[in-house]
This record gives sequence, structure tokens and C-alpha cells, in this order.
Amino acid sequence: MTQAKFHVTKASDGRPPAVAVAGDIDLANVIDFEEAMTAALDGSSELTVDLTRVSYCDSVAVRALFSKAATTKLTMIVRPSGHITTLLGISGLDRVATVIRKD
Amino acid sequence: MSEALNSAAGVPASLPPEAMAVNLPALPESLAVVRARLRAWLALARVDPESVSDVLLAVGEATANAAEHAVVGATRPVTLAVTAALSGKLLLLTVTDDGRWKPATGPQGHRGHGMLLINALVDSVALTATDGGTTVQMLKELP
Repeated sequence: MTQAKFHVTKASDGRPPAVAVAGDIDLANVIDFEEAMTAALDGSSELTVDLTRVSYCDSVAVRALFSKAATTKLTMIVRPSGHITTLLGISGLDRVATVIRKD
Repeated sequence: MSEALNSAAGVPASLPPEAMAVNLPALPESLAVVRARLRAWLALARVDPESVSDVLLAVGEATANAAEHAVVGATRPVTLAVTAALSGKLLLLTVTDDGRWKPATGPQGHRGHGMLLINALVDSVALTATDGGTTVQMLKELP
């Protein structure tokens, strides 16, 4: 079973809602990722997704993020190097969402 | 962990490890098992961290395709087989399923993204789809 933690923060005091993920995202738990994003959004038009503690994700997660980017103003926080940066670049997700690089 | 991998990568691998072969049901739950086995094997083969990251993602895409598409409409359990072998500086990876080939639904389809990614991550890809299943063969030249 794929283990990951999804920490949901609702919008408050003008800060957009956020989901912080730790662990692996794949086909086995992408539904949990989608549900966490939907729960965080709760009608808001902006969403921040912190992926700095993600140890693995692939185009299954990219597809979920593309879907959210189509209807919301999506910001992603990623580590400056590593496979997620590669993934965002090749998939073009970095062109439809804001990407912040942070250690 | 990355420091240990870095120092190990500088040492020439005099004895490459035995080829890896993993056979599992083509189910989403198997993907994490494949990654764990492959990570361990790549560490044993002293593959550099950047190539490890590329290979995990390329194999992850190919296995996710199999677990998601090969089982659609299957009337029996579908098996997913992953192999990895090292010959000098050449890493050969195969992902095989004995299910049914489902073509991509369009440029935004998952399989489209997956194959695009695999192409960018390894040096060559060959996809063979028959009635008996699908094989994705990948070659990665190590630095």
C-alpha cells in the first residue's frame, strides 16, 4: 500500500487554502490526493499545493494537478531539483500553474 | 542517504548485481512494491542519484500504464513483470504485462503523458503491443 500524508489547510485571513503532501503519490492513492485538494478548496478559487516532501510522484499526480489547474489558480511548491521538477517541466504543468522552488 | 549514494557512485562497480526480476499482479498496490525493489537494486548497482530518479519515474510510468489500462476488460488476473539488468554502462529495463493494450485517448490522456515522459527520461524506448500483452523496453546509458 502506498503511504502518504495529506495535510489540508482551509483558507483563512486572506491566505489561500493549501495541501501539503509527504510521501509517495501513485495510482494507489491519487484519489486521496484529489480528495484532499477538493476538501481544501471548499469553494475557494485559489489553491497552494506543497510538494517539497513528496518522495515519488508521476503523471498520475500531474493529471490530478492539471485538472485542478483548469478551474483554480494553482500554486505548487517544489524542491529546486529532483524528479518532480523534471516531471513538471516535461508535462508542461509549470506553464499552467505557478511554481515556487524552495528547499 | 544521498551522500552515501554520491560516494558509492564514484566507485566503479566491478561486479554488477544479478539482473532483477519482479512479478506481481497488475494492480495499483503493486507499484510501491516495484519502486522499493528497483530502488534497492539500483543502489546495489551503484547507479548515480540522477539516473536513479529518472529510472524510477520511467519505470513508474510504464507500470502505472499497465496497472491502469492492461486490466480494463480483462477476464483473468493480469501479471506485471519488471526486469532490470546492467551491462557495462547500459541499463536495460523492461515492463511487461499480459493484459490488453488500450490506446491513448488523446494528447491529454494519461498514457500520452506517460510515454512522453519515458521518452524524455531514458535513451531509447521500444513498445511492443500484441494480443498477448504489452512490453515496454527501455535503455538508459549511465554517465
